[in-house]
Amino acid sequence: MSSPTSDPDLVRRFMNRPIHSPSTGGSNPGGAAVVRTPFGEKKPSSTVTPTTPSRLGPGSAFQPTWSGPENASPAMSLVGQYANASNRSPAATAGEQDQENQYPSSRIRTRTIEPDEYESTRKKLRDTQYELSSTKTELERKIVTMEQAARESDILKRKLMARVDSLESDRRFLYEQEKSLTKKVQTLEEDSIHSKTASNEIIKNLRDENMSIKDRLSQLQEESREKQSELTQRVRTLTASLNHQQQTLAETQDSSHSQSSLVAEKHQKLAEALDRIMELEDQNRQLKLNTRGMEDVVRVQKELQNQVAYIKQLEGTNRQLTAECKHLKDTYRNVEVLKEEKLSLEQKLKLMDDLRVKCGKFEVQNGVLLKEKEQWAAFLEKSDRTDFNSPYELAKTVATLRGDKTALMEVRDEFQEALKARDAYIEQVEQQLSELKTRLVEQEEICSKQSSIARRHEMTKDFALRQVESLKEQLKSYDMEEVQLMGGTYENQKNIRIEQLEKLIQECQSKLESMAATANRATEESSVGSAATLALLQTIQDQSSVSFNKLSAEKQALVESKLALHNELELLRKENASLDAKVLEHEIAIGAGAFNPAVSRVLEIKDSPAARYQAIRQQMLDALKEENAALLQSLTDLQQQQPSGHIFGQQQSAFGDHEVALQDKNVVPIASYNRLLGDFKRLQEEFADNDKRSKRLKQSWTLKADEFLDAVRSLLGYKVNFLDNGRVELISVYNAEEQQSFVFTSGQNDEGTMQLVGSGSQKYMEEHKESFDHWVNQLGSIPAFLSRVTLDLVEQQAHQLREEQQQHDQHPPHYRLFQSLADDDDTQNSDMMVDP
Amino acid sequence: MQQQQRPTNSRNQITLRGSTKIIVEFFEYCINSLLFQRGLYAPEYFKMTKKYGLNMLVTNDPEVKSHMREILKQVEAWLMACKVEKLILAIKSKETMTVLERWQFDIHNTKDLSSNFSATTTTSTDPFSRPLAGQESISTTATSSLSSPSKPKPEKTEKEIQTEIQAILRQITASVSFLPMLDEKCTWTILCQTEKDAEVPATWSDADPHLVHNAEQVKLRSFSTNLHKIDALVAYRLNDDL
Repeated sequence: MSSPTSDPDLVRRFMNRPIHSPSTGGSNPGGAAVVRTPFGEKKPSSTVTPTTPSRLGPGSAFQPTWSGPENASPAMSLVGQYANASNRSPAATAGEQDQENQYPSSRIRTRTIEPDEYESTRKKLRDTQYELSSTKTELERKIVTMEQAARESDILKRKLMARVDSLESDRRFLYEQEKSLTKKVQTLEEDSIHSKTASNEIIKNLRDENMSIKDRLSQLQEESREKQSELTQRVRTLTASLNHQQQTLAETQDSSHSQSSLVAEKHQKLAEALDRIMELEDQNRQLKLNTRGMEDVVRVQKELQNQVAYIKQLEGTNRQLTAECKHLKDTYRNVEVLKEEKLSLEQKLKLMDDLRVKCGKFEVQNGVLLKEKEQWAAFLEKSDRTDFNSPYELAKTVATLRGDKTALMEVRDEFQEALKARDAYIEQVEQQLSELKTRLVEQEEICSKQSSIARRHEMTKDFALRQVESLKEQLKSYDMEEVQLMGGTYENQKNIRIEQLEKLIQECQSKLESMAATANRATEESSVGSAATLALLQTIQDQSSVSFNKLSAEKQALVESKLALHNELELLRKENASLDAKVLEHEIAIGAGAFNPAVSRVLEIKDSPAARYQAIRQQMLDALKEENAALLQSLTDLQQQQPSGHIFGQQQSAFGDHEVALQDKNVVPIASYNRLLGDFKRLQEEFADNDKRSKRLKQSWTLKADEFLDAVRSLLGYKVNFLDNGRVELISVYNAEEQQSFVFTSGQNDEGTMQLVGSGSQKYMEEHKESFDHWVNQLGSIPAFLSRVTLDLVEQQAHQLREEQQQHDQHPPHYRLFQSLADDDDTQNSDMMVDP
Repeated sequence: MQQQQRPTNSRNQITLRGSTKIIVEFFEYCINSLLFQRGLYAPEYFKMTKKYGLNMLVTNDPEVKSHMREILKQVEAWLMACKVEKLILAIKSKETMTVLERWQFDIHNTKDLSSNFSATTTTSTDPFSRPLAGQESISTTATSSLSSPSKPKPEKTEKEIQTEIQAILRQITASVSFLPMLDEKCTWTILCQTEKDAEVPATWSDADPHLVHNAEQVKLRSFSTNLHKIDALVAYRLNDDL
């Protein structure tokens, strides 16, 4: 329920709307009255529908707003009627209403106002209303046009939106399709690459296998051929040797046969000739009986003569042959003897060989011993005692020398001790001497002192005597004085005194005398002491001279012993040197492998490679020995069979061939077959070993070759396939397809040059024809051509990449797809670069 | 006292095991390397591996491999029992079976060496055996002078040992240059010089010491672990006509 006072505001607001609407361009006319469509464009709300303005007339434009006041109160309904009456002119009504709205109470009051006033006001009102209505219509027209324009733009907008929608959906559909197609293409490509690589690998493997199998087959064939030939060769050689032996046998047989047959023939001929003679004699007799002409007789005789001569000749030859036969028999016997002799000689030779070996050993031993002896001798050379015959003697002398040496050492020690004792004694004596000397000096000093004292005493004595004299004279004078002056009384006293003094003097004198005596005694004593010391010194000197002699003798002995010791030292030094040499020798021996069997032992694993090889060799040797023995056996058998053949003579010879055929069965002994089997086995083992080795070599070669190809591919950018007939296929790693390859073949006579003979695809070839012409035909450099192609491909790829990037920049939604594609490409490239 | 000694004993055991392992490994690579360098098997029998900072060639032939493993297993057992004195690789001619080369590896037990030798020196009283005793005493003084400063020496690190092994292997590789060419087919065997009282399995037996006649010899470097010292030496046969 809005109050009447709020109406003008509302009107103003409504009137303001069209003024605002054009400026905003329908973007947001009323603030909250705008909603967004799901597609994003703005639409007016349903409360202000776009159709309402067109359906409303200019008068009823305010109807919704007026509905409130109409229903508001009965008083207002009156005004409403009045308003309706005056509504004939829209402008007037509007103004009236406005005024009424503004001043409702005053209008009720105007019914009492005068008509003039009323008229004028009415006129005024009408004017204002008119003005109002005119402006209103104008405004409304404006609103309508604006709204229409808005509607039109709306429609246009909606149309555009619809189109945008349809385009969007189309685009999306196409994008989906594109995506799916690219995916499919990608998967197909991948599949094809996989299948291609797989098939290539299979082909390669199969080819390799085929090659290896062929190699193996050829090797085996060759091996078997070799083996066969070897075996046949062996058999042939054996049979040949056998044949040879048989032949020689047969030859010898033949020669003896021929000789015997010759003899038999001669015999026969002789018998024949005799028969003939008989016959001829018969004929002769008959002829004689017949006595047919002389011619026949002569002829017969001639013939007879001839026959006789012939017979004689035959007999001669016969004799000769028998002689020869005898001689041959003799010689044969001789040969037998010689053979035996030869055998004995051989045995002797064998013995001699043994002896020689022994002799060699002995020589070596002798050498060693000589060396040893030399060493001994070298050690003893300078001591002038080279006449040792045996080490025992030497050792003995050494031992004795050692004993001597120890004894001498002891003696020396003793001497040294004695020397030491002497030294000590001498020292003692010297000390005594020095002591005595000092004592002597002291005594002398004392003596001189005493003498000086004595002299002084004598001097004092003289002085005292002189004093006494003077005193006596004084006394005398005094006495005289006394006598003259006093006389008598004092004399006694004086005499006593004189006596006393005299006594004193006497005492002094005695004392002096005693002192002089003591001095004399002292001097006497000192002289006696010096004599004693002199005697002592004499004895000491004697003693020392004796001891000196003794000491010099000792010294002599010691010097001698020192020399001996020096000699010994020299000897020991020499010994040391020889021992050093020995040590060196021992060290060398130890280095060469010698050891002390008493302390340690050398062990070896039984199944060492050397032992294994030794065992194989031993086995071979055993087999050969066995074979040799068997062959010798068969030979002796053959030889035994031959003499028996001799006995049977010619009859046997008829069966000779048959016999040989029979013997053939036993000619090759089982042992040689066994040996051959062993050989065969060994060879097979060797073959297996070789096979293993060649396999290892092949493995390492293929590894190396792969490495090499990898290096070539990653450095030069070409995958190299070696085809049959020495052709080489080069595939650039920057190629997208497998068919894009160049095939080269080595030039004529295989001189190290290559020729381009084709390509995986004709198109690819044509693409690069120009650069091929330039680089190969004109400049003659295949590597340059290949580099050119690589550069082209790399540039092409980079260009493609750039293009794709640009496309992606233009279409952000595509970015992800492109990015992913580019990523894929990148990874592929990098894979190709780094790893196959 | 015993309780104090026990841990050191067990520690010794551990170091003995470690030392044995190092030595056995060294032997494996060394023998393989020699088999390759002296041409006893074709080069394709070997493949390259990295060891001691060097490219070592190790056989990939299963037969040779298993044979080597068997030998080294036994050597390891002997090493653990301290019974092995020398390991020798002898190269022989197939044709004549003469020994052409002899690679000798002396194994010294550096820990209990001094006690062993002091026992031997005290027993020598016979005047005639004095030179021998003197020789031995010289060697003992030499070894004791060697071992006595080594006692306070700090224990060797694995790296130092490896460096020594590397040096010795390098020297072996270089020694091919002065050794005579093996121009005949050759085979090889491994000998073990052990103490008299060592346990011997049934697969091993006493063997010829494979002396080299007319031999020239070259001492190679040596290496030592905390318990063992390995001296290497190669003796080879000089050609008779030279």
